[in-house]
Amino acid sequence: MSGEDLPPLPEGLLEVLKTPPPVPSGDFEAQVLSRLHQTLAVSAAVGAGVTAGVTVSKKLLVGGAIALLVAGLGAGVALERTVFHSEPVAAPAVAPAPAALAKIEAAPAPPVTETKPVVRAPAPLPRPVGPPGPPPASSRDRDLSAEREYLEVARTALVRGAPAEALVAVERHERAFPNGRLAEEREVVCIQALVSLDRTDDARQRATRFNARWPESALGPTVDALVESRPK
Amino acid sequence: MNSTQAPATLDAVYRAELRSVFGFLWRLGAREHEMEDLAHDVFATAARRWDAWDQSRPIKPWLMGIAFRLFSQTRRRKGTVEPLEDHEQQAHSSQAGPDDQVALGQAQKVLRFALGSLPEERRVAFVLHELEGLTVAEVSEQMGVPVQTTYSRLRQARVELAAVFERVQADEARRGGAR
Repeated sequence: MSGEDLPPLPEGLLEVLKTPPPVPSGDFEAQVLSRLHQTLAVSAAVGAGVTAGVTVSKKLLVGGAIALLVAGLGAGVALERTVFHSEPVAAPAVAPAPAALAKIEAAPAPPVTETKPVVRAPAPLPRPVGPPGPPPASSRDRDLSAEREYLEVARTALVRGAPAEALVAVERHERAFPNGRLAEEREVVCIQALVSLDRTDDARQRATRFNARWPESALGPTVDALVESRPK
Repeated sequence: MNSTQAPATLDAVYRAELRSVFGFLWRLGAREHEMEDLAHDVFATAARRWDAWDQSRPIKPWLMGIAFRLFSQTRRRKGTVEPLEDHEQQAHSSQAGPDDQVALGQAQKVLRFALGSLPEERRVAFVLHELEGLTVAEVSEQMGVPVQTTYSRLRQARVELAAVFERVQADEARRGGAR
């Protein structure tokens, strides 16, 4: 099927479809941006406190961060470590965040239920992905680029309707980057490929592991929908 | 956005794309009271998954993918699908004069009603392709389905939307005749 096969839409409906959606008000834009900065400040505070050995009370810092996460971020998006261009966070996490976020790296914030004191020697945050201790930036960039290439091959194959080829690319990615930064995306592509190949049981097992590993993933609904689309 | 440009900052992306994301969520059927959380979560998730965006490619399809997944997640968590505006009650609720704003509001209600009549997967595909301008390949990638599936959803969506629109027009004609 192609675009030429799509049935035409009635003229009147075409006019309705051109209706512009509402636009966010200035207040809305400022409010969301403010929340976003708060969210990112929390992550930056947690990350900076651990990685830079900030001398202020880390317990207070993380405590404040956790409180903000619990109280203010009802959507449950626990951001990972963020790196700001501007000065490192040296104040309690409730301080507003600097404006320019340059880069966001993948390293999860500690669980919000964490109650143990964190006043201890700097140690890396638990990382579900990536090797212990970050390699130099250039190496990380090369790895990320390589990861993307594997996944691009896999996605392209899926879109072409060639799930077996997609699976091969996914398996290559998995061998090269078992805990890569795009592991989450890889698993989704893998599950898609398995479903397309009617390997429903394998897809379900993989989906279960996915949800256990990334319970808050924004890709979770996609994974669930993929396996639910097939009869048990 | 291409690879020759300086690395994008989230602030810049936010300012450039908020309107698109907001409009997309609205077209999907997000309620007013959900908008702030959803918009926040889209950009917060983008920050969290920043590495997953290939900066040599446009950011819009990637953000839209995040937005629709979060929207779906919200709906699933609620366990029910909130009905969109009732066309009968709301699309014609205001009979004020031919003011542009009123006309726009009416058209928006009809649009939401029509889109809301579609099952979610078809609505998402239709909105992404027909209204947000993503290619079929981009829609397929974001929705994680083969191109053929996307075409099938688009085809069904068109047929269903045409039927709904016919109903809306019939309602309007009946109302006009009754006045």
